[in-house]
Order: sequence, then structure tokens, then C-alpha cells
Amino acid sequence: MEVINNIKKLLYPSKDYIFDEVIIKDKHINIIYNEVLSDTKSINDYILFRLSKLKLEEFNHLEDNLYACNVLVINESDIVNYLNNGFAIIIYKKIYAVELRSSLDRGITTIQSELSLSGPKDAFSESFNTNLGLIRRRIKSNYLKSETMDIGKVSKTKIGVLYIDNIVKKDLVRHVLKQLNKIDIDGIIDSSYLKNSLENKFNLFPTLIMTERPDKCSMALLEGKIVILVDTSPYAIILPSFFIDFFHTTDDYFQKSFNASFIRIIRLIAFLIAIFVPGLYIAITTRNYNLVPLDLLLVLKAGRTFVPFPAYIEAIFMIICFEILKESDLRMSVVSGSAISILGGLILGDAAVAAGIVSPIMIIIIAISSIAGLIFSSIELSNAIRTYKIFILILGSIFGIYGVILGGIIILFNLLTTETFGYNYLSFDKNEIKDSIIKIDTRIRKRNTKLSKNIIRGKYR
Amino acid sequence: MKKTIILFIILFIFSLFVKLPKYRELNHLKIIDKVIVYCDYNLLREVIPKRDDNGIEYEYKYYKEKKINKSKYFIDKSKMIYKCKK
Repeated sequence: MEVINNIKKLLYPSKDYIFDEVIIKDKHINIIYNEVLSDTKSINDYILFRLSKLKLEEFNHLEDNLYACNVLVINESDIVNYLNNGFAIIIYKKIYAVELRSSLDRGITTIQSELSLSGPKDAFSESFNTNLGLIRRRIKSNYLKSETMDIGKVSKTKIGVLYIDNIVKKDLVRHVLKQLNKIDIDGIIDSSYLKNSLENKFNLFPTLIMTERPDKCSMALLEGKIVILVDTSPYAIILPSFFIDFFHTTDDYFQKSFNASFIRIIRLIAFLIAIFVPGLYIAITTRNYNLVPLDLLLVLKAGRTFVPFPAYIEAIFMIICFEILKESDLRMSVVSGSAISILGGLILGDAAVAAGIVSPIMIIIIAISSIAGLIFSSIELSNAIRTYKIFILILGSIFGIYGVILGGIIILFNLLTTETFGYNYLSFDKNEIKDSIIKIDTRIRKRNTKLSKNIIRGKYR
Repeated sequence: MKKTIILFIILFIFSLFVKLPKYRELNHLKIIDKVIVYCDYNLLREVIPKRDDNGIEYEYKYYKEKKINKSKYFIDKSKMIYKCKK
């Protein structure tokens, strides 16, 4: 058959595409499928079994007589596309695509990176359908819309844009779809590939959240935000995301408001510590030592007695060592994990101080600021904090306290002038004040007026 | 872009009016914890902290100087004792 020969030429020399011909009741039926992407057991148990039970006249309308979930009549040009999506192709007078995908994902597993004390523990996987199902389980509304498209000339990756129709602003949806349609790329392997077209490249602070939590996505949808799911990626994108969103976790909504407020204030303090403490320490101990009480100054001087390097060199060296330790901790195998952690801790901690290469107070300063920077689950924000920490450190060593204040002004300026999809990145809506840094329980919960036309989120009696 | 340029210009102009303190490492800083001001001269006591296994030990050095050069030392002003009534 000409169609079969054309498909064979296109797919040659791949051997995982199977071309089968079966004869049922003197009818020659061709079946093509990919043995990796399609469920071969279902092909045998379902398609062949069902075909053998059909009456002669039913062969002319297989789309009505094969009781599968999804049987489509397609064109010759679409065959390869459907094959690569796990469909089995049946050719008998017409071309049929039968959905019999094999399950190639790891199923629904627990969360790896954004742990929480209470609340759901299920996480997204690499299957688009599974991820969509996890969200639809939580939002059982016909207003939850999912607009899908294929992006990537070679990979043809399925992307889904989710929003709640009666909450979200349509301009935002149109803007996001327009940005996604502009993408001209060979392949999308992960959802982070979309960041280039959705985010401002020159801004260090992230303007969208990547999460593996379906409950977080569902909460975002109810607030009037958009969620983007990407097939083969376990991370969904939530946009637009504001600066204050990175200080919120889902745990805050599962505990009392006072506790949630306290933890949010701790996160804000950690953010300030992570950025400013190393620079402040360098400024105070090299230029503005008048600000330090005499007793403390004597202790700091005693710690630095045998250290040969200037303070800023010591600080940069310690930051680099800490980043190397963090990176190697991520990449190394579980087997050698504990040995390398002990080695790193001993070398950086005890041995370096004993050898007089670094002072003990510098290790404490850099350790506290680095650990404070890891409090945020967003990798992009942690990277931004690290970059600004080094920037403030350099300014502090050159200009002293004035340099640290200068750096603070520049960071604030950056935050105030950043926009995320037309909204101010650092802004407080009057309705969201009671759920920003502090969380206050109110009888009526209101949405951000900038994001949603539907303001009232809920009334508690 | 315009806003960024204006910000940097303002900060640069402001920095011209701000007196930046001199860079000095703690190792090279002489900490004076006591100053006795006599009529003819000033007696300065420098404290040198040293770390060992038992904690911090302090050594003292005394300087006699006619004029106190504040840029050379870190002086705790509350510890100045005036022995000369002029």
C-alpha cells in the first residue's frame, strides 16, 4: 500500500515502529504502532479481539464500532504525529487513530522540594494528563479552562494554559497566549524553557513561580492567576507572581494566622540577613568601625589576628566554597553523600580556622547568610539573593556603610520598577494587605483587585 | 532605562559630598582604650587582643605622643582622662 510505504520511508531506520498486517474475515487490515509509546498489550487484548468480533458491515465504520475512549479518523499527514503520541494507527479503507498510550511516567509521587508540615503531599509528574487531573480533582468547575497547544518544531511538546474563566482577567490570558505563540524553537524539554519568552531576561528577581505542588497551583488559579503545564515536566508555572508571593507557602493557609504571620516575618528577616549581613560586616570592620562597641571590636580583631587575607577576599572565598559545597551536594550520588558532607564541613569549618586562613566570625557570617538564602523554595530567588549579596559585599568594601545603603537603594529601585505582565512587582493591593507579610483572619476574604474582576473570595460565618 | 541612568547620576553626585572613611584592616588597626591627657604630652594605651585555647588574652602597649593623630588610631572617646587643667 502506498500509504504504508510512505510512512516506512519517513520512519526508516527506526525499528521501534511496528508495521503489522492482520487478516480478519478476509479483510486485510494494517496496524502501525510504536512498541515503546503504545500499550502493546491493549493492542492485542482490545483492538485485535474487538476486530475479530465485528460483523462484515461494521468494518466500514470502525470509528463507531471500536468502543475505545478515543478513535479518530485522520489524514495521512497526521499519522506520524499520532504515532509519536502513543496512538495505534489502523488502516482499512480509512485511517483511524486509536488512543492506547503506555504509561511512561513515574506515577503520582510525594513532593521533593517544597515540603510542608501539613497539607497534601502529592506532586506533579511528567505526564500532562496526570497533572491536569490533579488540578481538576481540586477544582471541579466547568469554569476551569485548559487551552492546549504544541510548541517545538521537533519535540511538539504539549503545553496547557489553565485559568478560571469567571475570575481571571481576559487581557492577561490573551497576553500569555500571544507570548507562547511567538515561541519558535526546536524543542521544549522542560517548563523552564518557557521562561525566556515569559520573563524579563535582565531582571534578577523571578516574576513567575515554578512549583511541583498541585494544591499551590489550585490556590493560584482561585486567586485569578494562570497556570501553565508542560508535558514531560513535573514543574508547573504560575504567573503573574509578585515579590510577596515568594514569602508565602501553602503551610501558611493550613495553620493559625498568628503562627503564619510570625513565620512570614522570619522569612523577611532571613531575606534581609542573606543579602545585607556579609556586606555590613565588611563595611563595619574595615571602614566604619566606630559603629562597633569596643569589646566586640576587640573580639573581632582577636579572631583575625593571624589571617593573612583582607576581609573582603576572605568573604568571597568563603562564599565560593559554600557554593561549591552546595553544588556538589546536589550532584553527588547518595552513596558518597555523607562522607563528602563531613569532609566539606571539617575542611571549611575547623581546619581552615585552625590553619589561620579564615576567621571564625567570617564562617559564621557567611554560613548564616547562605542558610538564610536557602529558606526560599524558589531557586531563582535564591540565586538572585546570592548575586545581590556579592554586589552589596563589593559596595560595602569600597564605600563602607554608604555603599551598603547604596546597594539597598538599588535593590529597592529594581523591585519598584519591575513589572510582571503589566502589574507592579512590588505592590500591595488594599484587599491583599491582610494576607501579605502578616496574615489576618477576616470574615470575608477578598481577592487582588488588579488580578481579578471577581473580588470576593469567600465568606466565613 | 532612563530611570536607571537618573538614579545612578543622583547617587554619584551624592557620593561626591559624602566623606568616605579610610579603608583599614582590623589587623593594622591600633585600638586605644585609654588616653591620659597631660599638659605636655598624651599617654595612650593600646590594647592588643590575642586568641588562644583559653580564650582571649590582652596585651597592653603604652605610647607617649605630643599630638593625638586620630586617623592613626581607633580611640574610644569615652576613655579619655584629662589630667591637665588649662
